[in-house]
Amino acid sequence: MRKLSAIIALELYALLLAVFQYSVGVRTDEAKYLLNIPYPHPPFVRFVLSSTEWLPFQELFWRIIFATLLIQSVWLFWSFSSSLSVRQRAALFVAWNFSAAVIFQAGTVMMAPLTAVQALVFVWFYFRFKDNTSTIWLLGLFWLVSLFTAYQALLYAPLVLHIFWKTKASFSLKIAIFSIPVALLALYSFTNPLALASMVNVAGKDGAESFLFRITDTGKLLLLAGSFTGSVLGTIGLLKKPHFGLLASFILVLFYVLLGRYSYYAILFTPLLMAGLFMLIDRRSVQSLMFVGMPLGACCCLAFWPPQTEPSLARQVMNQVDLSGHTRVMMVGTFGHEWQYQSTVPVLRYTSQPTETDLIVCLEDCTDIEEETGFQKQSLFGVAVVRSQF
Amino acid sequence: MLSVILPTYNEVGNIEKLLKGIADVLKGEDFEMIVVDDNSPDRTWQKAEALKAEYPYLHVIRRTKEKGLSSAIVCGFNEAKGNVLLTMDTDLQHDPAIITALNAAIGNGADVAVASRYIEGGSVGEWVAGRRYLSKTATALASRLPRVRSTDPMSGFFALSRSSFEHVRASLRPTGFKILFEILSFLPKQSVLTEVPLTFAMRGSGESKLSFRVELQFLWQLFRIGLIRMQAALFLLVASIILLCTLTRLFALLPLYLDAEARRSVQASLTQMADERGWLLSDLSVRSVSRDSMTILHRFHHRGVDEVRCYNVDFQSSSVIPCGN
Repeated sequence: MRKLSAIIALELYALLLAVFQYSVGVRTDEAKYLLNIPYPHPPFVRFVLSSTEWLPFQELFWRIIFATLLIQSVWLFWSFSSSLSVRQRAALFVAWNFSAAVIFQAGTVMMAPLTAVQALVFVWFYFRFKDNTSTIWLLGLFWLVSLFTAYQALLYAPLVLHIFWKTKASFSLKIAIFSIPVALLALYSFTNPLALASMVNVAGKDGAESFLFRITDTGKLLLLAGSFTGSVLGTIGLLKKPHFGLLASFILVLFYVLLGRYSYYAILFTPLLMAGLFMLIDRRSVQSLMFVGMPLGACCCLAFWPPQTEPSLARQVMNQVDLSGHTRVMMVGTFGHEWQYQSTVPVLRYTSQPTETDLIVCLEDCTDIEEETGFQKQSLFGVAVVRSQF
Repeated sequence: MLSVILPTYNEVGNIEKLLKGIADVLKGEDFEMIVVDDNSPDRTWQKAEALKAEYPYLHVIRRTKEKGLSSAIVCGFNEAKGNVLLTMDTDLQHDPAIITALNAAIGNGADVAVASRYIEGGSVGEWVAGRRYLSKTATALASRLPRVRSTDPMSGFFALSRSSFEHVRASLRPTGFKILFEILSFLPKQSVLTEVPLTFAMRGSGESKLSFRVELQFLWQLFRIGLIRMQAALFLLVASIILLCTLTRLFALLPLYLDAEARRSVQASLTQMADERGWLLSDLSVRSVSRDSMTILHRFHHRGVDEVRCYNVDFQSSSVIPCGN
């Protein structure tokens, strides 16, 4: 009964976070997955997401699913910490659910939180069973699924390799089951030139940032990952009782975040920090710190780096505009995929000679377009909307 | 030495008679009895402790953190010192006289010996039709999965050699009631199994622990073992499908990677089309490339009805013609 109550309470928490994210609207990366736009990540999850495009409430549906997966994955700790006391296990529960990264990411339809849950499953495999020989192929299958969810799963390759290494399977079988998914991912990448091009493009954009800026940004994300307290304690745990797989994956994530520094990368640290916390949890002082420090740290993170609460521009404009009678939306200026998602008609870039059934959305100045076309303009949320008649 | 593991939960009315029955059957033999009690509310563990004076080879384990029949049996097996490990129900439905036959089977070289209700001489006794049907269904579902086949993989009365237990110990995930089913699933295929007939008696005192939750646990166990048995095939199937799809596509795109001229032409054509028609590059997918032309798919990625259109693009003339024309 107590367990059921805990599940319900966690689910309500997940629903709350999902609804909060829903109020903000679809972000450009989320639109990529919901619409199965073929970059930057491999196709497995985005194919599943886009198969529900026919659902009028597709966005909310998947926000609830993703939030549930992230919040309820706390039961993985329950499973691998069976030797611990209830107090110790509760401390781990608190640590995960008060991680600022979990709070900020729960309910987003992104690959980073999904990869974090998959990483937590690998941590579960690592701690739960001394020997995974009897399920080595299943482990390989899960590794394959993780890689075809997001390229980021490669960051946990050292952890996965360590789990394989500990099995009693033959050397060649271990290497084969580990390497085949990686090789398939590499092959897939060559079939999707857009994904490769987008990675090169992103790497190029970030190239100009100074090293100090990168370090401070990475530090900020590490603090978000564990709400200060968990970040410090988790890192201490990883360093104090070094396990090759966990530590090497932590270093890989560190370098990856150093290069990219997108805010949603913070959650990639969290499963590893939780592993570090698990290794320190027998100390009563650590448990007390987690009960008090985690919620406090989460509040500080929310105060210093508040999440976006205003609905996205695309949602605001598209909810306001009446698209009946229009066959296309033409965008002037740089725009994200969230415009494609929010629009009920196809979206394309502005070209010359729009027709009367086109609606033009100007994210940049388009006075010359008004003059050329003779269309009328309306200002909505700081954006000019131009069409033949209102 | 024979180790008899007796998992108990609320069997205070049966434990004394059971221990006496086993002691009588095994008189003169080298054996131990291990009661593994899940902190019974009726204090079965306390009654067993009191009987230690009468049976000095009796050990009692009282578990407070964990619960469950299968995990209790595995706990007992882990604590046992004997080289033959045996377990049975503690509600007097299993006749202790069969212990001798099971022990002898292991002594004669069997890896597992099972008291089966479904061989000649065995029966389910006086079960009601509903329970009989449930048991047959569960047995039918479970009998095909294990590597080592038994007519009664659901039996709770069986013995195995220590070496067999050591072989499967790390693979066991004991949940629910059916640990034999799990053991048979992980033993090597060439393991020797012997069966002896078992007639199920009526329960002594107390209540049956079979509940809807236990039945759900069994279904989960079936699914889990089924997945484990098929895991290699599943992995290879999925990997093969991905390999086939990617190789086919890669072959069609090979000039893109091997021919710099083709690469330049593709890039230029895509950019030109996108600029002229307002298409996003992410809405375009290159399907095949040759030195002179390419085939692309265009999709608006618009929610709802979203047509995918195919075009052949000639690099020389820059013509874009729908496929099939």
